[in-house]
Amino acid sequence: NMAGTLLGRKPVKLLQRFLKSTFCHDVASSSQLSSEKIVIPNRIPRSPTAILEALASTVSRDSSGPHYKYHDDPYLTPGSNLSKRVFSLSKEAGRKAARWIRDENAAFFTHRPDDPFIEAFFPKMTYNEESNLSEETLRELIQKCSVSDAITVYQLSQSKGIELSDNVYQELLELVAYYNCEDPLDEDWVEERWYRQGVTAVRNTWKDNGLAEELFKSLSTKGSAAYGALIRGMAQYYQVDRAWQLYQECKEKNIPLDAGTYNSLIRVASFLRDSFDLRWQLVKELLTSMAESGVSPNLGTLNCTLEALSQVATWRQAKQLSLQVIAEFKSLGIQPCLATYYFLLTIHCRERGPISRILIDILDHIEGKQFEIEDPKDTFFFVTAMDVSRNHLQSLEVAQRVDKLLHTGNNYCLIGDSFKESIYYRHYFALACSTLIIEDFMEIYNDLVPHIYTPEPGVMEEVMKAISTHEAFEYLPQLWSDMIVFEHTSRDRLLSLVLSVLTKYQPSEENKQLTKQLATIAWDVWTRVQEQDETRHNKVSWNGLMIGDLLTTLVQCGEYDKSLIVMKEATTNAHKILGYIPVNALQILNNAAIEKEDAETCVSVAMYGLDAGHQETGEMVKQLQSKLNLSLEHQAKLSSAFGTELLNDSS
Amino acid sequence: MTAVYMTQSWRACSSLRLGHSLFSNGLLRGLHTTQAAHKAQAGRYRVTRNRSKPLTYEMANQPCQIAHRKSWNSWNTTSLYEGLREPETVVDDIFIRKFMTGTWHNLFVSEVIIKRQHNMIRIAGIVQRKIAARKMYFLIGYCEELLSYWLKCPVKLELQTVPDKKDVVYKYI
Repeated sequence: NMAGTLLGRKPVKLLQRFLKSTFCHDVASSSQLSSEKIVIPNRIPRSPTAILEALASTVSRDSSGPHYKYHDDPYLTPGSNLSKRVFSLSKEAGRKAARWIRDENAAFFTHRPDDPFIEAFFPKMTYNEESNLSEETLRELIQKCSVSDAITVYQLSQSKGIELSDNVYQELLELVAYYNCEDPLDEDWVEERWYRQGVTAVRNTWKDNGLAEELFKSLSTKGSAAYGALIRGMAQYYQVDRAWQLYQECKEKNIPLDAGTYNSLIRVASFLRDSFDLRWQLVKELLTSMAESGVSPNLGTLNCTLEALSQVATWRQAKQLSLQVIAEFKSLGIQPCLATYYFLLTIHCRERGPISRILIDILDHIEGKQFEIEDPKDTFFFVTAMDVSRNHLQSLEVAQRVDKLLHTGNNYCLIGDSFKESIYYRHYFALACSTLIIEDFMEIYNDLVPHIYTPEPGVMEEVMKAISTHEAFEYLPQLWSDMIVFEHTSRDRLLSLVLSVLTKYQPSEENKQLTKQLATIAWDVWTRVQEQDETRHNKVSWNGLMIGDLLTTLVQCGEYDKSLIVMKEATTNAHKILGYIPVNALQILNNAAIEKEDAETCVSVAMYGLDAGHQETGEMVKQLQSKLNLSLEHQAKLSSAFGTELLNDSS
Repeated sequence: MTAVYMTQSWRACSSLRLGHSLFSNGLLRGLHTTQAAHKAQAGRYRVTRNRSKPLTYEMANQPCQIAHRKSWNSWNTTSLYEGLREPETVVDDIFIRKFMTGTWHNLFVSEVIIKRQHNMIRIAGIVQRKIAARKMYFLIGYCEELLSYWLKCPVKLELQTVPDKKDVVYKYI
């Protein structure tokens, strides 16, 4: 009770004293805290997948295994570039087949056990005479960007006489002008998009007097939105004359246009004028008329202006103007994006021109930043930057900075498509090969190859040349097995390069195993070429140099018997071999045969040398006679071929 | 004239056989007076004379070994408390198994394992390497897509390939 009354009287004061005593070291701060206001921060709105994205950001690409899209099985793991492409595209072909079956037999797939309803699994609606059409249907289809369905519904509603409002007409016009009345490739077919090369020929593909123009004519009031949509569509598909005509019409009728329309016209200015001066003048005209109408420029304007300049990049003033343009837009508060930097690189880092270090300035600016897609040409930046570092600046340091930027955050999404990715890594790889010492280069090789990047035959040749210069033969077995996996063994240039590299190797006592491996490689080359299918249209055929290198390697690595097989084949099927075996190879073989006291081989080598017209054959025969005792047949053969004086001189 | 035979097996069940005579081809009508207790023969394979029948591990272990040396082929929560959609799941599984074994023609060497996890169905199995890898990818894409259209939920295939049928044989009986 005493305790109770004690506590009951001043519990708060006791509590405070208790707290102060326990947190005595925080006395100073607690007094500060009690005077400061506690500010509760605002709730950060999170998306439904925010946690998943945060978890995903902790994991980066694992280079020790194939890409996640491939099935996790050794048989189903791709080795070469071709198989990577074939596997992803055939999987997608299976998906397309399944979708076709679903849409053909739509009646079987219309059950709806799923709650909430998932539209992606439901068969596609087809619109025909009997379907219930209204303006809402058309609006929905326009929202989903299904161009051909929208056109069908529009035509059906025209035939049925359904009234459509002007707004819907405008939306439909915008859709049809943007897509040029064609369906875009479905977003579900990611692999096809990934492997599709985006380079489309720059020619007029606009559908003249097509649905877009028909819609435009049928509009009751042709306002700025309508003109804008049509001009933009025409400019995008390079119908530049008509676009310019419409622009002039707008000027006459005093119809205001928006920034996007001006941008599309600036982009195609190069097609409207011939000389560089006039093109730039036109661009300036458009920009001034834009300013006069009070339309404020945006990032698109900056990019289109620079694109126009990159079309005239060989003009003396292009570089200067591009820098001025960037500065002016910066003063307007428009920050450049990756596409801007891409155009700057194309303007400044020309093949024939002074070296420009603009890439380094750009990297200083954007190092460590994360980018989102802001312009379709953003995806060109990384490839071009790596190209510039390799060919223009020839600096691995810059290349590594670019690579680091690519791997920050989500920037890897901006690599574009598979073609750009392979070119990016090709440049990086070739640059590393030519700049680094072989050990460091093989580190990069082991990291990237084979799952992130598979070298092309041309790049492989560079690697072989580097190995040859550095005489780093211990990497040859690994490279040869990689070449088999990448299906490079049917390229004769690469094979002859491999053989010539092998000849440089001098075997010694310490590396007996390496000697054996290299001999195996040489023999493997032989068997692969010999066992080729006769009917192949581009089969590898031997030439004299290759056989010579092969013989040298086999003899040097101690495979004398195998070299005999090769020699036999060479003498019997000499017509299949292009050219003659060079004399040093014959000499090496001759010396080995003399050591082994194999007179038969020496004689056949001498005969071959005579056929080939080598001058040193005589010397070889003399050497042979002095070292070995020849049988009568051999003597007879040699004398009939070389003449008796030669043989008598040797004594 | 009918004859009544009373049989008593060691399992203490009795059955009667009523028929004309033992030696003619008369029809026999039988009735059991106790529970019918037949020998268990489900999932068991008969031993051959020359030990030539190959059995996979799954086939070699009888149904009584489930949860001991074997596990189930279908994993879902329908049999738990408040588990929903039990009969529909069973029928879906039958459909999936027929679809998979039919599409992968003579290629499956194991049972088709079906696991339901969240909103996904994961289908696993062992497949022979009789067709080219790119054809396998076509079938994988096709099966995943068509089954997800049919079952209205994401379907993922997790196959393992094996070079030869003999690699999954556990014993010969």
